[in-house]
Amino acid sequence: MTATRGVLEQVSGAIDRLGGELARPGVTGMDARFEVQRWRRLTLIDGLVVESAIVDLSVAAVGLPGSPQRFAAVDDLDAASEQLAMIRRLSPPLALPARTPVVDHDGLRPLPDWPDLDTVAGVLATYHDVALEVAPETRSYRSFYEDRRRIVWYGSSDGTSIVQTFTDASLIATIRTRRLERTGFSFASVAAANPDGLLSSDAPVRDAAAQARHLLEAEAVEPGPTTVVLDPHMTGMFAHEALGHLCEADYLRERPEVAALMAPGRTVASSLLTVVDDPSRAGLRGTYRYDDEGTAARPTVIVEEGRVARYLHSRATAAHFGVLPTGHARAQDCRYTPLVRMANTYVAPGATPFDVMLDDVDDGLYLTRPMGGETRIDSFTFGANEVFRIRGGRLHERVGSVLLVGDLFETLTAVDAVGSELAFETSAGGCAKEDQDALAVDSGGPHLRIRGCQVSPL
Amino acid sequence: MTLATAAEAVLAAAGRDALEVFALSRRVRTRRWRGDEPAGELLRHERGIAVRVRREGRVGLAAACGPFDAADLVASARVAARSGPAFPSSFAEHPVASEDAAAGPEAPDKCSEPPVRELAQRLHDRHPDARLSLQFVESEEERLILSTEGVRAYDCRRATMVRAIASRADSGEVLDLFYEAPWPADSTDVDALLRWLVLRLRWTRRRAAMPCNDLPVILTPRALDALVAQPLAAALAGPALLDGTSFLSGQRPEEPSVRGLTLLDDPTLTGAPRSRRFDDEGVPTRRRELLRRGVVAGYALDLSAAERLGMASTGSAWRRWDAWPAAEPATLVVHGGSTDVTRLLGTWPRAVLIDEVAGEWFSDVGEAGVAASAHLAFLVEGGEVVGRVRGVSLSAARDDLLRGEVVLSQEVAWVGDRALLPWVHAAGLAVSDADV
Repeated sequence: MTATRGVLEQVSGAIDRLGGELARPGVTGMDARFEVQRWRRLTLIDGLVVESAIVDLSVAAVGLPGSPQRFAAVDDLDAASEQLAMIRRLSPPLALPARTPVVDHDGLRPLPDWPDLDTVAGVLATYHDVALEVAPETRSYRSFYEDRRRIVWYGSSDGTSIVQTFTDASLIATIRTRRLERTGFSFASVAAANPDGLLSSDAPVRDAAAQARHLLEAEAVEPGPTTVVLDPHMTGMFAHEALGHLCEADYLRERPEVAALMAPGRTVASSLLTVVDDPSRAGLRGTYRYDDEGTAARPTVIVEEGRVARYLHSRATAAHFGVLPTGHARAQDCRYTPLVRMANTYVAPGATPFDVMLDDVDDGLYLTRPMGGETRIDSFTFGANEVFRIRGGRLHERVGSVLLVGDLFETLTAVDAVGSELAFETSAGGCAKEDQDALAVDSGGPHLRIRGCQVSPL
Repeated sequence: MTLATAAEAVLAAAGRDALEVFALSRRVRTRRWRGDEPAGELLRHERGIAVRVRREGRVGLAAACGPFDAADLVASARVAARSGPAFPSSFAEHPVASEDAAAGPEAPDKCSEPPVRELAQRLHDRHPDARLSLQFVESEEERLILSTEGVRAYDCRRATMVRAIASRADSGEVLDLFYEAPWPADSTDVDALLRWLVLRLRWTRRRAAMPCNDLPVILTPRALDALVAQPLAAALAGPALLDGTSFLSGQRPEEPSVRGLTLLDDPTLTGAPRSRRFDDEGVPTRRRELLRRGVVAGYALDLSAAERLGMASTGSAWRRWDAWPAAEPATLVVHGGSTDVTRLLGTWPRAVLIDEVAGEWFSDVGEAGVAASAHLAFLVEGGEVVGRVRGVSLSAARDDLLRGEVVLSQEVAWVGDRALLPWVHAAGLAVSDADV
């Protein structure tokens, strides 16, 4: 079985079959999707492969847009046809505004052929040697490689028919070092549109190994409030976790208490902060032309100069709030119902060059290499793996990893400088929501400076 | 095509290679309510089949969801095997008592309607400003494992979980209180759920300040799970042991401490959603101690990890249809002690009660210490919770947490579907508030 054999025939067959049923007289307000996907995984521990897997997915989904309770995902077209007929018989369509149908089959093209897994495994094994060379104290090196090729059709009873192709390869490498009683941990997390882009440089692993080594002698920071400067990757994570999720309209529709906190026009951050989600921005992991309800991708400003501007919407939530859909209805794959999800979230650049931003910091921390985070509505905990001391406006020695904790809105309001650059993270992993845990997204921004941020050593 | 016919077709395509088939069918029905109003119902049915092939001393996995050709699937697994590991060298294990795969699942007992109206009304009577969201998740999972080396194991398991969120807005802050537990649907559970929500809604109405930092710490079952039980389970599972990253790697047997923690993995626990007679590689399961009075007593291993460590599988393999098995415990259990919760809270003039932590997962299992922030913490005075304290950080040396003195409550409670734990005073845990 090869990745591409029969894929176009399968997708064309689904378009003919399910598209034909959607086009029947009297069928209204119905959606169908069909997807063929191949993903491959390799896991290595200390340079040796411990898992090698090739997975094929072929699945169809039918339902009413915006209605998870009237949705069925099945693994053959006959069953999809039956489910489509049953949902149509049992459930009246939701009242959604009419739209102009789009037919775009540009994505109906063969999936690319990629290097064999054993070739990939060979390259990944050399990265273990790189880690050992840079950090002889390495006592554990693990790498997780994954690549995906997907071809996805979306069709609607309004005549919309769209085919898109997505490719993605990602690598996470974790390095643990030990010297006597001291331990260090760091990681490389990179993603690209294909394995060649991912495996062309060992620099991310080299950097991670160096950081894991530095942590063996890094001094722990004192807990307490301090001035922090976030690098663009930290900024992107902050924007995604702290503000992005709070602007997802399906969540706000369910949670009136939170919607009150995030009412349009309400000040939730410093007036220097503008946050955008843009699935149409080229070359990023969260990029697409149409979302999983056939709405064209476009940028949405969610926070403008510190005030809530707009929410991210599907067709149903847009109708509920009386606005236009923003193109953010996304499903991890066709097994799942589309939810309102982010794509490429970033803080818009400001006016302060990085060196000027540092100039005003007598004593603080520069945070890089985000370790992820969690938010509980208005409180947050984020981790930074690589941290430098700032003294007298200049970067100084590395210190130990830190946790940032605190009240979300207080912290966002304490942003007093926004950098003039814009960079994206393009790292591995994905965004989790409900039962969908690995949606490809991207985030980024400029440097940010926050006063009085609560930090503690990790 | 049934699960059995699909799996048999793959087994027949094995040729001369050793081969294992894992077929999974999972149906999930999720019903949601806001207050006592229905808010939706979602049905999901996922079927998939995975095959591991061993060829020329290497093992590869291929999996499919959707129409597949058995010969193609086995061919893909052979391709994966070219870059695959040498383990496991055998797909055979002790035979297990299995249900008949050809018969398929029995018709489920008619599920009683969850007492949503009663729950919503009783909560409203006590806390009219709180909003209740409820989810009942019913699942049915069929597993079939076959191998050319003689494994034939089939079962069908059903479980229902309840997830409740009580939400309250309070002077600009929105508070969510989460509860998740198995739902055997008897009246005791209604009371337990209500008591849990009502207590926390009451406790969070008042604010308190930490008078000092050197206070005794009491963990609720949920906090014990996050800070101790789950990290410990991860440290004793295959992957962390294989590369020596576990903080327990290389620990040698020694005299157990007098009062250290004892932790069990119990896949035989009646009524537990994750109980099962064999694991996802067809290996029989049994109840085992992971930690005995603070000292390592057992591990959680699948076939591959066990073989690499020179040990035997503990029947701890879990897998999705699309991935390799990974070792993890079924249900973590700490048996209750002799003190009831009320007496435990009143043991000291003042104490801090930790109910929910955040950021504990940043602490790597290789680290000797753990750090986290307390999302829900309460000041206790004279045995009574006097209010919620914010800005509290937690830290501990892992060894001190496991081997230090622990006092356990008689009462135990479910934490999700994975742990049944008591309240505990852990002497090794320190709290600090930056404002003190």
